[in-house]
Amino acid sequence: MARSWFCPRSVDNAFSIERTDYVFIQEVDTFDDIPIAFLEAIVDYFKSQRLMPEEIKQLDRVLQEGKRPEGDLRQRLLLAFAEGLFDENFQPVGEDDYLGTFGEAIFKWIRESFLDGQILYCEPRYATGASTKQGIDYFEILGNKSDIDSIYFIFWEIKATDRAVTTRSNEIYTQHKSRTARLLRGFQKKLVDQYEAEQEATLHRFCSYLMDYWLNNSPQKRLGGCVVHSAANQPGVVFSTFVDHFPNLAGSCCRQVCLIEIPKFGEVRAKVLELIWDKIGLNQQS
Amino acid sequence: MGQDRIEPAIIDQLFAEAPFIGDSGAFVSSMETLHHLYLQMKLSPDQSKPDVDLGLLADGAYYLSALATTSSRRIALEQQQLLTEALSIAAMIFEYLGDLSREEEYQGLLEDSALYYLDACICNTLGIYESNSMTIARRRLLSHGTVREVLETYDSSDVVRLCHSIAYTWLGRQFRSLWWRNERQIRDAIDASVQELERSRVRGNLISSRIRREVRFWVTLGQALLEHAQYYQFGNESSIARANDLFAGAKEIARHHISPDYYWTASALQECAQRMRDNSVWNLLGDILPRRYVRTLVAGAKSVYELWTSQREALKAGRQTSAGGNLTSSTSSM
Repeated sequence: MARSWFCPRSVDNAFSIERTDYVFIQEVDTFDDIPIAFLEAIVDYFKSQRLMPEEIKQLDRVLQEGKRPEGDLRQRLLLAFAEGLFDENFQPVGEDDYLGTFGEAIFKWIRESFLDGQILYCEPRYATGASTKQGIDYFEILGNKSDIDSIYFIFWEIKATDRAVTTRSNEIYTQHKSRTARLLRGFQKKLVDQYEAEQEATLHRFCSYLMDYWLNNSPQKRLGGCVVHSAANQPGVVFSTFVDHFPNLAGSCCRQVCLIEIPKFGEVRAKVLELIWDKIGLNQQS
Repeated sequence: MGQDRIEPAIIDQLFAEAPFIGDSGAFVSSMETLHHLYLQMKLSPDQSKPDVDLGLLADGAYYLSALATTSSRRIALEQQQLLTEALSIAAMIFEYLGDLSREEEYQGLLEDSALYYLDACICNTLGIYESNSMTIARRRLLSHGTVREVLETYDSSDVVRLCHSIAYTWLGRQFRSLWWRNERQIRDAIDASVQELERSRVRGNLISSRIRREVRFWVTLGQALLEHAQYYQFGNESSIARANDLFAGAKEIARHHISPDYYWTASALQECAQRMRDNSVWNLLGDILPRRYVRTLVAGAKSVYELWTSQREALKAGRQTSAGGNLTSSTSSM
């Protein structure tokens, strides 16, 4: 669980945003200060997002026997990890693609760990490659499913960077602005069909009005910007122009900001990729 | 186009729960400006950029098409007798946007014209403007290639293009082209592409899971439309059942693996398929005329597959009198 490694901290500010920073709980001076358990937890999260439970069991069995995955299992592993991690020749993808994939996985890990029980729906259900999705990085419906007034949704745009957090905020605004009502129409239809009117009456009703909330800038509509950044680059004042770009949203809570710091970010990413290769038993067979 | 004049009162009723639309008069005026531009584009090469909020019109069209395809909201529209208006206004806007998005100056500002035209065809079919749907679909085939043209230069990476062409052929009601002239070749082409997909390789390269799922979506949808087209050959309901299984498969792929707007497309096309089957000559005439006669209607030189709204109403009226009657129109005769 990410709760073992991060601590949430609400940040007061005057920019009509609601900001939460997730701070790494341990002091880290050098890469050696980072517990291996933290890196393995990230790798295990990646595995849980890319492999079915039975595939993980099958892989563990093979590795425990001191063998390497072969044949169909090897092909399935390669395909499962291809998105955002390895290219068509099973070599690591470019740094930018991996950075995006890593950032989205960490964000999803944090949300699931800290908001467990409040998330009524999320998409994508499993973290995929950052460059392989269309339209959204992450979509959530949150609240109490028996109280329609408590329910709201957030469209998140997620970035990761080794540089200052401020370098990514404009991209986040641009991507939020480029989202069309076509996507919302699809969400509305899909979710209304998913939540049967009789069994899930409240969610069914909420989702029947998703486009109304979106187009009318109702309080149920929220936009989020997340930046996963290096602990070496402390964010300071960021997203100060969120309100200027989206003045018509219904309040500060409709402009969500989430910042996640990773100590020794570059080295952590490289080590995680190496551990993934190692843990799926493909490191000597590429 | 379906209508020349939209009354602001209708817009007010349609958008009663949508303050985003603002002034209904301004919305109607924007539509009329676009309508004039549309005529101008057809009649004269002299084109000027319309001074209208295209984003607002697009939002309005998506909103109306969403209302008409969301079960509980659709019921409310039907009760107010506004369903047809909602769908025809949405279809009109989508068609305008499709035309504009082909112009260089709108590229980047609007979405791909194929998306708008598909939505326009769907909304016209779900409303009562089936002939508009046919016209738009056939126009699209002329500009982007018929099934036959796609097959002539086909390689496995063209499978999505082939499936798009199947969709427009189906919406253009050229069913015979799907069930008879090209059926074997289409199935062989799709099978070959699916086999390549199963090996996860297209043109020798590993393709990402994301792309594989998207290809699988279009292939499943294309197969559903192909099965549905088979229905018109003999009126066999088993074709409808097979088509529905495939539609369900396409929706499942869209539900779990790709962008939600694909889910809307698959669901809406399935609704179109149901409506087209309900309006088919097999369904409406199969129990009052010998099946071999219905067969001559669909397989004759000028095929008749569906009855339009006016024809269905005439049939209904004719059935309520003992005198019987004749029905003729430009699209069908009996």
